[in-house]
Order: sequence, then structure tokens, then C-alpha cells
Amino acid sequence: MASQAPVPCLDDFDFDRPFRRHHFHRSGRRSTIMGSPHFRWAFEKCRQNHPGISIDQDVLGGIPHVEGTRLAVSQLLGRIYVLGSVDAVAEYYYPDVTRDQVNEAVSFAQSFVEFASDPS
Amino acid sequence: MTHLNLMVDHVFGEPVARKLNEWGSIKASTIGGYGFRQNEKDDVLIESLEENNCLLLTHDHNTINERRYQPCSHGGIIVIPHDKWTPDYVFERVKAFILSGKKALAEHCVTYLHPKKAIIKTHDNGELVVLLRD
Repeated sequence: MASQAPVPCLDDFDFDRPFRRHHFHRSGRRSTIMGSPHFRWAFEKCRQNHPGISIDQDVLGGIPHVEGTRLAVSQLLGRIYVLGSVDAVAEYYYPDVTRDQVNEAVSFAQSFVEFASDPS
Repeated sequence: MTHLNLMVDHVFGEPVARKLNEWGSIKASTIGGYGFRQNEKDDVLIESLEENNCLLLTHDHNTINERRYQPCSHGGIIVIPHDKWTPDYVFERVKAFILSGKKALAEHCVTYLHPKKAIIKTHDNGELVVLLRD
């Protein structure tokens, strides 16, 4: 009988590190998941290619958002899902956000997921 | 007669503010309408609520919530956490909450408006549930 590869078990995975859901600031204030070293690293890698995306602990608690706005990248993705297109989202937020900024948010999200899920 | 003053967060934007104002019982304005920048800091918005005698209407339940902004430390926050919101959906939720007769409870608290109910987070980790009619 051929031996089978062991099935990965969730119990073997250390959820506390580095995929910690919450992070505590030096000030003691709990921050968002972006405070996690792993995600912070992924963000910094993505940020080099997406200067239009910003992170600021004082705006939306530090989640990635379009520079100069209070529109989170995740929220823009949700708007695309609801409204159906990038153009519709740009039209909804006109004149605060341009089509290029929405596209950059989508591109950032793609890059971020790729980096964050990279096992290396 | 104005029943509720709302500061509409950037994510909801002008279309939601316009829709809310159509009803007549709500005076809604975007953060730009209150003189703030489009990328204003969370703390600045929250601290201004009492001074402007209004409640913040936002979708950002991950970072603007009762854990970060304790009830009784601000003018009041209304959160609509539904991911697939539309201006009509936001309007219907706010309208249903006002018609419930419990809108006064939202002051200085954090209120979550769900399809069938409103959950009001009060001080000392208290929680009130108000059933809403469509």
C-alpha cells in the first residue's frame, strides 16, 4: 500500500505569529492587522510600486487608502463589485477620485495579496 | 424640523448625503461640507462631533468602532457595516432607525444599523438591541 503524504493540520500552524490578527502599538493602543510585521512588510513592498496608496495610523486606523482621501482600498473593491465597473466608481466619487486612482487601488490589492500570501 | 444631523463619511460621499436630505427629517452633510479635508484624521472628525452637534455616519466598522472610540467620549457614531451598500440601502436603514423612536439613544454611543435591527453600544460595554421595521 502506497504511503500518503500527511494532510496539513490547522493545529500545526502558529496563528499567533506572524499572522497575528491584532497588534499592539508601543503606546498600548491596539492597531489594525496592518500593524502585523508580515503584512507591514508586504505593504512596504507594494508601496514602492503604488505611490498613490497611503497608510497613516491617523486615517482609517492605518488601513491602506487612496492618497488624499478617506477611501480604503478594500472599500473601493467593494464599490466596484456593487457598481460594476471602475468607471462607475470614479463617477460615484467624482471629483474626489479619478479612474486612475481606482485602477491603482485594484492593482495595489492584487500585489498585496500576492506578497502577503508568498510563503517565502 | 430637523430630527437628526449627520456627518457623512467620505466612503458614502455626496450621493448618500443627497439621498438622506431628500427625506427632510435628516440634515446630512459630507465631511467636506463641515469644512474638513477629504483625508481628515479619524480623531479630528470624532472630536468635532459634539461641537457640530451631529453624528458620524460611516461604513468603516473595522477602525471606527466602540473599541477605539469609547461611548460617551464623542457625539455619536452610526455604522452601516453592510459591504454591498447603496445610497438607497443607507437611507432605508437610517430612516427605519429614526422611525423606531430610539434615535436619541444613538447620541454619544456607537450604533450599528443592520437590516432588521440596530445594535447600540453604550458605556461599560452595554448593548441595546432595537428591532427595525422595513
